[in-house]
Formats: sequence, structure tokens, C-alpha cells
Amino acid sequence: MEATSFLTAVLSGLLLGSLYCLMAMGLTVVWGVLRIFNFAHGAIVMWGAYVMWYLLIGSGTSLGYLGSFIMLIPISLLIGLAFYGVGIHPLLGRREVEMAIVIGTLALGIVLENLALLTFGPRLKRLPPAIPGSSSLAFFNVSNHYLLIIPASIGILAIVGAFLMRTKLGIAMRAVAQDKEACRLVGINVERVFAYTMALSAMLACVSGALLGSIRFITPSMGGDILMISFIVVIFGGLGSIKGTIAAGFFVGLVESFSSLFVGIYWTPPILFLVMMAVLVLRPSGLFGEKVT
Amino acid sequence: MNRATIISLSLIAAIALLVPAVITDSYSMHVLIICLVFAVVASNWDLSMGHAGVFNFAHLAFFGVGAYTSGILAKLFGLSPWLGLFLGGFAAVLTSLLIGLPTLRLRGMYVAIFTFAFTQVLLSLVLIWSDLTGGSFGLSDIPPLQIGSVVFAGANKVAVYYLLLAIFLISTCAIYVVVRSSVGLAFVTLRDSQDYAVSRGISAYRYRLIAFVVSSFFTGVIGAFYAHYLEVVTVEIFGWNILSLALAMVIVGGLGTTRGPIIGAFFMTLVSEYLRSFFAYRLLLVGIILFLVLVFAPGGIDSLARSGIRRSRKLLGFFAKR
Amino acid sequence: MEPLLKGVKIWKKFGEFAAVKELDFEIFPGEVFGIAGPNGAGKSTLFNVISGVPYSASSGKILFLGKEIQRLKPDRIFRLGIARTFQIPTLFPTLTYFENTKVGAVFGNPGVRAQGRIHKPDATQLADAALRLVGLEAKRDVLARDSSLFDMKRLMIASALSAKPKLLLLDEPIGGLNESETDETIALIRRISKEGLTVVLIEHVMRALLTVSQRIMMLHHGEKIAEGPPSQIARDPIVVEAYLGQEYQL
Repeated sequence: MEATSFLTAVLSGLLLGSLYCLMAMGLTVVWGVLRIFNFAHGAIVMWGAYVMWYLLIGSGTSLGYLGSFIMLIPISLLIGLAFYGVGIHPLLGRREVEMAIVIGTLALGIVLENLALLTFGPRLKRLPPAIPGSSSLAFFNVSNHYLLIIPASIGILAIVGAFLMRTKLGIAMRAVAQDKEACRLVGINVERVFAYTMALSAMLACVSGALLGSIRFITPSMGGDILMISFIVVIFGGLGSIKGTIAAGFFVGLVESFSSLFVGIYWTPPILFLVMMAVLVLRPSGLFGEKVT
Repeated sequence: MNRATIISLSLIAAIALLVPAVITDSYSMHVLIICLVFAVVASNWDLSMGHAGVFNFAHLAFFGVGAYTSGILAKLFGLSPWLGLFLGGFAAVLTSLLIGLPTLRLRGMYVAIFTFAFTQVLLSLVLIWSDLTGGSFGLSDIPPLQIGSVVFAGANKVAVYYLLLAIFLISTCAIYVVVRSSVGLAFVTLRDSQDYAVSRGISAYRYRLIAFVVSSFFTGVIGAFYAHYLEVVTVEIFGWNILSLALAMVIVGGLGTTRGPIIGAFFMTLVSEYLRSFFAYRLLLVGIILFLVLVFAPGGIDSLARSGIRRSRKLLGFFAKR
Repeated sequence: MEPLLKGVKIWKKFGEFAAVKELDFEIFPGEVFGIAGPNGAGKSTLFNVISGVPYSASSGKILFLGKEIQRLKPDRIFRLGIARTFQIPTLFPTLTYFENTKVGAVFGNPGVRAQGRIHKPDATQLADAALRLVGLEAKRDVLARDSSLFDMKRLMIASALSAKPKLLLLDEPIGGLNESETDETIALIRRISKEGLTVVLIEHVMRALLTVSQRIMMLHHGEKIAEGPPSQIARDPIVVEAYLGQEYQL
């Protein structure tokens, strides 16, 4: 194997990985605070890509990439709040809440997928790159958009990290993640924290969808694969662990990139699945996570 | 079984046997056949997910494995489709062991993710091994089931119906026997309160595995049946759409009661067929119905019917007293 | 006499916090052994690690009839003959009283090998006998959902008894009951002990604990601080200090 293909695989693995960190972080945050798994996560990422497409191209307004991206953020927060209010809040508090949430979010995922199909049609779409063209990096030519993904993802994650550490709401989220009941006792409105957490998760999902839309085709059914990857990242990194999600995001990106290099694109999902299966069997708590049986 | 149950079951049996005398057009028969196929799928899914509380999202994988196994063996290797039915069932059982043994030790959520992921992987494998499976074009020209000159396929739907009825009956009786046994008792206790069940001698892992494996056999058999009836299988069988439709059947019918998902299978198949001309709205509606039932009527049609019967009994009793 | 249940240097840690610290104890066949201590002393945790649900000990050995059980699965431990009740009353709401009780009989009896076949005692008879012992035989076919506290507690005991265990761990069976229910429960514990079962009893209601137990072990912050007959424990200054502020009647 040549050095250049190896290095290309490493580079694309890191790029993909940073995007996966961003994508999976929404799931991690929701699990940490609400203790639920959102099976509609992939569909929300997909909607992020479509909303971005609409803002940038479909609506005919000339916001430009940055403008559309910025507009996406409040929209995605609203999507998250709505999703919590309609989809999650009604199901909490019943006896078999875990089963209800899994089925409920799955159902909502189907609804979101078919809403997208009806609104935007089945034809594949593609977003233009954030910055067109490519640059020379050592001895590769990398598209500028690709190069932008790493700092963009890291930047967004850093902002979210600062939010969680410094702001009142962020601290409340971390507190609820640790001990819901204690928070209620000190007067924190736990349901509201839940709603804001869902908003944050949707924002991360939509933003990653927007970035993804320039390097992959946008279709209403893209949510399935995205959900898979997000699950694999979160499980591998350890549920609820932010550090774990970041480490695992890069790891999964690299695995995907190398397996595409060696065995081709079709084998990548089974290989990733085998990796996840190995993790679940050998070390179910993942890299940094909590106990699982 | 009390008298009321015996009477109602006999009535249903009589109707079931006489249906082909009343319904004669090919399309309606086809819909009825699909209803019954999914009644088997849904009632078996209910055994693992409803009775034993396993977060089983690989159930449609059992269905697909049965279909592809029998289809491939019959088409490419000339195996008798009758044998294929059994082998489809066994392939499903092997699959359930393959996923179940490592996963069922883990907490519910993980089982959901893992089983879900497994189905996606099967989808990829079908596409990878397209020489065998027909890939994205599907497996077509599958030989149908046949006895002498009677071919159990599209042209002879009445024969298909009666054969299917027999399989449905056997499957439902098997479920009934399991639910009524001490194994069924173990399922319910695990679902009601796992720690308490474990403290009373019930191994969560073992009984979840039993539920998982037992629910897979007839699902595989009916998958094979489905393949030989349609004479074609596509990769869609591992997709989201059929998963959500089948899930809707179980939930809308009533999770945890075997008759609920059977009713749900008929209900959702009819709804889905009625909406066929609406294309994408159809699946949107399935998802919405599933969600609304989950939120507003979590016991499904079965619990609505039961409370309806209770209320009408009270009403009748009230009038009888006067 | 050999102890029925023996704990050797048992530890249970949750992260950094040690709920049970290097605990040794012995429980002899046929006795009623009481465990007392303020909230958070580690009493229920001890029951949890003995029975294996919902967790096992971090380290140390637990011997039942001489065999080590600390690493066994909880369903196996139940089948060996150790049954427990829970501090928070638990039952199977979709089953009847009879079915709730029968669960213990069906899944708790490994059966006895005789004449080449495994003989399983009749679960129905065992369940009915257990219901009679706790005084719930009238509610046999009632759904267990929406039961009173006293009924729930007795039902939990019945489902434990139907497996004919050798050792019964009762976790605060009296908490929340009124005077007459308390008296009935004390009488029930005495009846159970007369049947030959060994009973270990965690209780906060001191008058019950002191009247019914033959020996009492006092835990505080996960450690044993006193052990002996009730009369001695009641007068022990260490015990009184640990319970400062708590009322009890002899």
C-alpha cells in the first residue's frame, strides 16, 4: 500500500471523524440528561441538511453559506423544543418508559422521514461546499470544505463545552445528568432542562447535517445510516461520556475510512457493526462509560 | 377456557373457513393473505417484545432471513419449497441465537440498538452478496409451493389461503401453549419487575433468550411462505418501512396480548392497502397512527375493545335491573 | 454448630463510597437474627449482596452451607434456598395473589432426584400453603395491583416462602404498618421460625426487633459496632449513641 493512500485514509478518517463527533454528541447529551435514546436522531440530522438546503438554495433568498448556516441554528433549536414537547414529554413518567421512548422516537423518525419525502421530493440533493475549490496540503489536494469541517466541528464542540461548563443552563444540565431528583429538590425545573437539552441536541444534529450535505447526497432516507454511525460512536465511547464520544468519533471515522480503502464501501457497515458488537461483548461500558448489564 | 371463548373462537373458525366462498375477487383475497401473513409475524413479535419485554428490533430480520433462505435454496439449488419452509424457520432460529446469545445479557436499550443495527447489516449483506440474493434488484422467479397440480401462488389464491390458515393456526396454538406455560409466567414476571423476578429464581437472560428464539421460528417459516407466494423477495424486507408497519400492527393492536397484534395486523394491512394510492402519505400516516396510539391509547385496540365490552356489560346490567 | 450463612470480610463499594466495610458475620440454623442500624448503615446493601440482586459484593466471601455463593447469579442463589423481601414492597401487578406466590414455588424448586427422575413438589400446593401461612388465602384470585401495604408485604413473604427456602431475609417487614398489623407480622415471623426456617430481620421498629430476635447485629456506616442478645444490645452505650434521637420501646 502506498504512503499517499495511507495518508489520504488518515486525513479523510480524521475529517469524517470530527463530523461524527459532532453528529453523535447530540445523542450523548440527550442520554446523559434524559437517559433516553433518540431513534429519530438520524432523521433530525437529515432535516438539518434539508433546512440548510432550503435556506441556501430552495427558498431563492441570497443568504449565502454563512448566513444560511447562522439562520439554521435558531431553527434547529426550535425543532428540538418541538420534538421534546410533542414526542418525548408525553411519554415520560409511564411505567414502561424505556420501551415507549424507543418505539415513540422510532415512529417519529418515520414521520420525519416521510415528511421530508413529501416536502422535498425523492431526488438526491447536494449542498455546495462552504468554500469552493481546494488547497494544497503537503502533497494532497483537499477540498476546502473538507478542511473547514475539522475546525468547524471542533469550534462548535468547544462552544458547547464552554456552555455546559460556564452558563447557568449548562450547569443545570450537568446537574440533572447526575441526579434528577436532587435537582428537583433544589428547585430546578427538570422538564425545562430536558426541553433545552433536546434543543441543544437538535442543534448539534442539524449543524452536522448541514456540513454533511456538502460531502454526501441528501435524501430523506439518509437518516438510517446516520443513526447507525451515531449509535456505534456513542456505544464505543461509552454512553453519556463526552470525552468518549469525541475519541470514538475519530476512531469510527478512521475505521470507516480504512475499511473503505481496503474492502470497499459496501463492507463498511458490517465491519462497523462487528466492531460495535465486539465492544458490547468485551467491554460493554465502552471506553469511558457507565456499567451496562 | 370458558363458554364465551369457545363460542367466539368457533364462530371465528367458521367464518375463516367459509371466507373464500364469500370473497371471490383476486385482490381482496390477496389482501386477506397479507393480513394473515402479518398476523403470524405480529403475534410472534408480541411474544418476545410484548410478553417477555425484549427490545427486539430484529424480528423482521427473522422474517427476511426465512424468505431469502428458502427463496435462494429453491431457486438456485432446486430444493423443494416445502423443505424450504422448515429451513427458513431454522435459519431464523440460528439467526436469533447468533444475535441473542451475546446481546440479551445487556440492558434493554442496548438490545434495541444492537438488534436494529443487525437488521441494517443484513441489508448490507444482501447487497454485497448480490450474486446469491439478486442485490438491489431482488430475488425473483422463486418457485412456488406445489402439491401435484395444485400450485400455491398467485393464480390459485384459495389454496394459498387455506395453507396459510393452517400455518397461522399452528403458530398461534404454539404461542398460546408457551404463554400458558411456566415459561410464559416467567416472561410476564420479567416484564413486570425484573429484579423481583430474578430474586424469585427466574434467570432474565435465559428466559429472554427463550422468548427470542421461540418467536423466531414461525416468523422464519412465514417469511419463506411469503417468498414462495409472491415468487419474489426484495431487500426492502429488511428496511424501515416494513419494520414500522409491523411495529404499528403490534402496538396499535395491543402489545402483550396475542390477539391484539393479530387484530392489529388486519387493521394496519387494511389501512395500508386503503391508502396505497396516496404513496408517501401512507407511511407518514402509519407513523402518525403508531405514535398517537402510543401516547393516547397505549393498550391499543385490544384494551379499547375490552373497556368497551366492560362498559356495555355495565349498561346492559343496568337496563336488565330495571 | 456450623453456621448456615457466613460472611467473611465483605466489602461493597460504590465508586469511592464504601457501603459495607470488611463485615464478618455468622448466622446459625433455626435462629431469628436481627440487624439494626441507622439509615444508610448498609443493612439493605448487605441483603443485596447476599441475595445477589441487584448487585454482588465487591470483595469478600459469603458461604451458605459451606459453599461460596458471592459470585453466583441471584436466581441460582434463590434456588439454593435463600429468599428475600424488599424494603420497597414489590409484586407482579398483572398477576393474581396466587400466581405471584406460585412464581416462587415454580422457579425456586430445583426438585429432588429420586428413583431416576426429578420430583418437583406440586407448585399449586406450595403456593396455597404459603398464602395460608401469611393469612392471604382469601385473596387468592385477586389481581395483585392496587393492594394495601400490609397485603403487599405479606404477599412478598408468601412468594418467598412458597419455594421452601432455608434462609429468609426480611427487609423492614413492619415499616409503615399500624399496631395490629405489626403484631400480626411479629406473630407471622414467629410462625415462620417455628417451621424451621432461619430468619434474618432488618427492622427499624425497635420493639419488634428486640422481642422477636434471638441475636442482634448493629451496623453503622457499613461496619459492625455491636452484636449480642437483645437485652445486651438495648443497654449497649455504643448502640444508644448511634441511635441518639431515635425512640424505642422495650
